[in-house]
Amino acid sequence: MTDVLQVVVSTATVGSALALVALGFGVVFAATGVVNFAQGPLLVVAGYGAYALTRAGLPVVAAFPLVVVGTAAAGAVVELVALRPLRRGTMPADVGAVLTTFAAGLVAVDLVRLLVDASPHRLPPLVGSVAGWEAGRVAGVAVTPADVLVVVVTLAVVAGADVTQRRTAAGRALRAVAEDREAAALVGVNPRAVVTVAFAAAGALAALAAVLLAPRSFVRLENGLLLGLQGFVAAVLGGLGSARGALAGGYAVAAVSAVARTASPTGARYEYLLVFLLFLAVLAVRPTGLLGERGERLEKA
Amino acid sequence: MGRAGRLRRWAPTAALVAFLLWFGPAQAGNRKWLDLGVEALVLAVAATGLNVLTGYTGLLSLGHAGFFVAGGYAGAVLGPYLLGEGSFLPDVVVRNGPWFGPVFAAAVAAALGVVLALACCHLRGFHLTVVTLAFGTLVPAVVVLASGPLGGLAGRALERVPDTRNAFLARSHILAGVYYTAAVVLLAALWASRNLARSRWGRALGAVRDSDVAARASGIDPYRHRVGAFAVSAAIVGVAGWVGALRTLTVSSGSALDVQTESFRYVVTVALGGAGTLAGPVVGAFALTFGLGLDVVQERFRDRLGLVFGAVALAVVAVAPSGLVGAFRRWVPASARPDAADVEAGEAGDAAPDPSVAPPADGTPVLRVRGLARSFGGVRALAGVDLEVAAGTVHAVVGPNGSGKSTFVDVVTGVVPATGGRVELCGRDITRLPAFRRTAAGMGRTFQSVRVWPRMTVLENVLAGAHVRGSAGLGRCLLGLGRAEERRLRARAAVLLARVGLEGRAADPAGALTLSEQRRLELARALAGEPVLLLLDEPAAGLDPAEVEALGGLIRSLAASGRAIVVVEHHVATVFSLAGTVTVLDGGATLVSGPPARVAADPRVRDVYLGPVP
Repeated sequence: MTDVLQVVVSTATVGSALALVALGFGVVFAATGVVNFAQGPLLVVAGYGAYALTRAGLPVVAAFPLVVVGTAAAGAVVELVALRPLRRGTMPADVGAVLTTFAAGLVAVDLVRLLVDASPHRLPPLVGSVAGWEAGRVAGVAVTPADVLVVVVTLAVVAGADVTQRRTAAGRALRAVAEDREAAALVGVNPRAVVTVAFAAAGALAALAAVLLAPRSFVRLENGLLLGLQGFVAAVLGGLGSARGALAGGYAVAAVSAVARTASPTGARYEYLLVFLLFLAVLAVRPTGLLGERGERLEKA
Repeated sequence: MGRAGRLRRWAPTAALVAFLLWFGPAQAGNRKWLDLGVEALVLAVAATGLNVLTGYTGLLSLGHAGFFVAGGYAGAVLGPYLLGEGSFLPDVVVRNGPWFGPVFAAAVAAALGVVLALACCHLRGFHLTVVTLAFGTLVPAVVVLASGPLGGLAGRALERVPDTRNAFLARSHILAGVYYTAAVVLLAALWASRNLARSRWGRALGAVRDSDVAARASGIDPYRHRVGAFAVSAAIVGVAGWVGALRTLTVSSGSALDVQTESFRYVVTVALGGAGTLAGPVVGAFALTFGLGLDVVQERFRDRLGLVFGAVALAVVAVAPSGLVGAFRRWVPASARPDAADVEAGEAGDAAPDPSVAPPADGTPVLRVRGLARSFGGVRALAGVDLEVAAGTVHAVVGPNGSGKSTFVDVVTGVVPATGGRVELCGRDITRLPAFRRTAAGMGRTFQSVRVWPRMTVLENVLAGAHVRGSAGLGRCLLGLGRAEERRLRARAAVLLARVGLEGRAADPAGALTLSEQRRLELARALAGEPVLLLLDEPAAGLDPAEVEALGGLIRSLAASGRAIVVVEHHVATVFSLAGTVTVLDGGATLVSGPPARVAADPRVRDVYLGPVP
């Protein structure tokens, strides 16, 4: 029973963070048709940014909004250095964008290493206690207000993104730019602004994921690669670009990891292997993801 | 080929060999520089391997350092294990065991490359790249899981090293031995890579890279060639890993981040030098190692190499997207390149068509289509089309927009599978055959929107079109064998280029041709497969009246030589003078079929084009 509950709590919390990362991949893909390989490194920027601010004496609640804004700006910078030059060049856009966003990510992680440091850190939770409740054990499993917070915030963000995507002018502008830049520009959408905003949103989402998950796990340089990959798997699983899909994919990936870790003491070693196998299976069966709808995009490539 | 052409072709190789022979002895006393030289050579080998995949085949891998690690372990661990007491291998192998390290390294890495390829070659673009990235991050995990033989993350020391001191380098220290080993390995990798690039396989890789659909239409199986490219690429990187192990005398994978950074270093090297060129990876490796002063960089930035390589990559994309070699090439006129000479040489040779292709006797049915149907979702694009084309005749398929003409070509050629009906070629049922096998069975086509392979030369386009008329396998291509076949194909390609009036453009990149020239190139490419059935999808679109006239003459002469020809056209007038039979499609079904005069007189035909006349 404890094991099952452990898996559920781990899935809900880590899965939520992965959903936010997946959503970051999705929003950029929806606007540009390329995958932002710097999404993972943005997690590192946010995590170490928050650590640096708290180390400087700022309470984490005050640091949080600064980190969100800062990482959003970092996302916009990624677009500036990685995507803009491609538009002038002769390189095929999808391969070129993998190269440049990946390069931007490597630079970002090493800048963090240079400016902050390289060791893992724990961040204090955003919410220490709610009405006197600090942390508890439910049937032997530790649950804290921070765990509840990451789940609630993620659900709210995904719901917001889903509505934005389907119902609002901003969502339509995003889809229009992805379909056809020139046509979108003709009907009065500024494609450049839309793409920049998408990258900034991806940065903000990375900041939410990094800071909200931090009390449960360490902020580490490796997170850029490992959480980034898992977030991408989650995004593909749910269908790149779909907000609800990101949530489903995040929970699915986190559940596989959690089961592996709980089932065997050495399970952590197999965790990534299992996630990877799940990824391959999905790509073999349905490259557009379980909830994906943008199949025709992939065919064109 | 003239003496000047040969000189030009061998000049870069001679320069490289001269440099390597100078650098080794000159720096023999300078450990630091010699070590840096070895570093550059090993990187050049690895980048040459990646270039086969990324440059020639257009697939970006971010996990190739995994093959480097695998090659190192294969040489260090598998070698001694296989060569130990009671080895089943021949005595001569056991005695000279360490020198067979590259063989083990290449074999293990190639096998791993095939495994990775099977996991990702059905994917494209970033999906494929993410799988390679994940593969790279799994390498340290696997090393930890197999801690016993592999020594865990601490790595494993090399037990038996080729004893270069006993050989011709008696007075030199061991690093010099590693230097010359690396130099020889690099030359071998370049030799194989050059052979591949200029071979039947290499052209197929370029075709798959530039347009998958056109590759299939030329009889090339994209999946098989991607897997082959992965295997070759991995094998070369694996051998680089073996040399790297000789240098450090240990093998280890490092962390997932290390594997990632190292993989990216290969990508940056290829991009910096120029992807898809032979010299690119070598130029990139030396530029990155010596240009950056990598020893200084490594000293000062040690674990911040991602910053350096990332910045270099961004700068390359922004400033010189085709790399150093690409930038240099812009200053060298195309006519000075070797391919132009090859065509002249080819023309003197045997120009007879492939004897293995006997055209069927005039009047025998070549294509027979019965009840052909295709639905997209609920839309019936083709709703039961019947058609028969005999050898030596021209059959026109016309119809208004949306009548199903393009779907008809796609289903007959197998690009889109049929949902009903039957397609027969020379009496053989090919309804379930994949597109690339239909080409081998005698089908050729052109595209409505031209799909030449823009980054390949005009000559290479035609040669790749003759893919099904060649037989050289991957091994022969790597070893540069099969010259006779190559000469035969080149001679035939020269004839075909002359036939469509492109004889002077052989060495130009196909992307530089005008639309009309590209249409003619597509025709020559389709003819290179020596098809008995030729499908031309709107061949006159975008041509001026004189060009349409010339095209008509060409089509007539092709039919006269015994081929069956299907011309799909939107403009009725163009084909009525040409075709023996005209079939009019409307709403995915046959409206009328018969001789042009009868079809032209049919009131229903006028109705579908102009609307019903009251």
